[in-house]
Amino acid sequence: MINLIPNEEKKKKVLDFYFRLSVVFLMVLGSAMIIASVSILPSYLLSSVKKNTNIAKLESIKNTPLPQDDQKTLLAVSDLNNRLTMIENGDKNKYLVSENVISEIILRKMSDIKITQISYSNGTNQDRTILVNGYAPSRDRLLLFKQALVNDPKFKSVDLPISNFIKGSNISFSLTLLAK
Amino acid sequence: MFLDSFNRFFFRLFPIPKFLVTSSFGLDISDESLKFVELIATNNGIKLGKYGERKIPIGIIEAGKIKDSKGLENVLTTLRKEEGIKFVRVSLPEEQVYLFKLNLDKAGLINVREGIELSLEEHIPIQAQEAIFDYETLKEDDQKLALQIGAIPQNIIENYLLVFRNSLISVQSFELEAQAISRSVIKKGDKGTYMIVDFGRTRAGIFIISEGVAVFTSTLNLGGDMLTGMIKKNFNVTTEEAEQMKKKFGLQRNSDNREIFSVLLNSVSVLRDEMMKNLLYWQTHKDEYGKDHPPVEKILLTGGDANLIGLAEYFSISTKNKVEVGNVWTNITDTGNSTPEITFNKSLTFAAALGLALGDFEYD
Repeated sequence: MINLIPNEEKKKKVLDFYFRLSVVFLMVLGSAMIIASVSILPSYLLSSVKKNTNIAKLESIKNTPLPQDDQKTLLAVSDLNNRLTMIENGDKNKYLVSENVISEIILRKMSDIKITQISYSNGTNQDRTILVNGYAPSRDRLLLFKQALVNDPKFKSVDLPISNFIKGSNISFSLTLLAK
Repeated sequence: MFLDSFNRFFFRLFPIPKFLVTSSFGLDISDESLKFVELIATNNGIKLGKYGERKIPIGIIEAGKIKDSKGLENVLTTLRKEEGIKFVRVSLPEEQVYLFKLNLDKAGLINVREGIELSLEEHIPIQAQEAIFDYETLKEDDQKLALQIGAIPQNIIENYLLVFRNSLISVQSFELEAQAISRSVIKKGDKGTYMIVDFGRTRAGIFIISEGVAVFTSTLNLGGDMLTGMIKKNFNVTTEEAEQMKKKFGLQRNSDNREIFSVLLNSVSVLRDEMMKNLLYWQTHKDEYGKDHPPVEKILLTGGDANLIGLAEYFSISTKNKVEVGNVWTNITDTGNSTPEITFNKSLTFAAALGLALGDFEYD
């Protein structure tokens, strides 16, 4: 179709169309928002009133003093929680010290020395006593093992009674260690 | 096909808001009158809205040029106030429009408009800067682009635009009268070749439409008023009586009508000669590819005096072509199912205005 309208007018027409399109879009958007606002208004008012009522109720409940029985129950619960925490913490560190001690003894032990028993006990004043029983091939090897433990800074004292040296070979020994 | 049906169905359910559509009136301006038509899209197709005709005092427009801007502004302002016209599609007088074919080589062609602008002065007697033009593609292949160009002096368009602007009416398009008339009388999508003779009150336009494009136009200063004037002069009767005689007898050739027939024949034969000249030109000249033009299938008559008794038969016999009075409702309404408000004879005078208003329903 030949349209002899000047180009500037054609551009104006296009601009005019987009202007109208924008107006229609804004009008539709505005109408949609108004309709949405109007339709949502009753629900909003209702929920707003409910919210305020509930806040007021909560405040009044908070301000009411607790009965005597409830207070006792709360204290008992708190005490129980503390105890449980203590038990849980104790349980977590149960084998930590003994494991370290056993590892240290095994590290110092020579290959020809056999350990048959290790017993561990917590004494008073946080002292921990370790009793080690086993076999040594000779007195020299036993003494060497004792010396190695004495040199270990993790042990406070190493007690090897003289009775352990009665036999000359294949000695059954009993060592008492005091851990730091 | 499927897309068309889907579009129709979709827009029937969700019509484009009126505010966006800017429904425009078809406005056919001639030297002595102004015809307006509004078409409305309904669920049952296109319907006729407001329509009418206003007289333009003599001297305001002459041969398509505005001579009295204020006078035309008054006519248009009154029309806007009375009919609520805000947007219009206007037809331009053929006398002022240059229509020609142009072949452009595609090699090196970047912008079609620039290409046209460079060769515009070879075809029309006005400078490219002083012309407003538009084009329609006729044919296209790998090397060439065949275009139909319409051009008009800028000052004429600016004069029209200024008058419309001052009358607070927005112009959507300035179209060729031939293009507008063809849109109303030739079925949409019909790619045939037709000659349209618009036999108006003061002038007659002869157009050739091929493949839906106005490819040839010419104007003759001969109209229905001239026929009435000749009867008045020869039989010494009043204008009203001469008009009645013209409508009653027309070009019937019988014993009662022998004298009127010979009087009218003098003028009508001039129009026939012009038609024959144009037909001959069309049939003997080659197109832009060196091929013969397709033959004219039919001659369609429009305009206020197109329905003159015996006119179609006379043209048919003398041009040896099929001639019929055009149906301006071809693309608007199914006349078999609904009857438009305007009578058939009257509707022929609104062919251009209806075609212009139909522009709203096509792609701009």
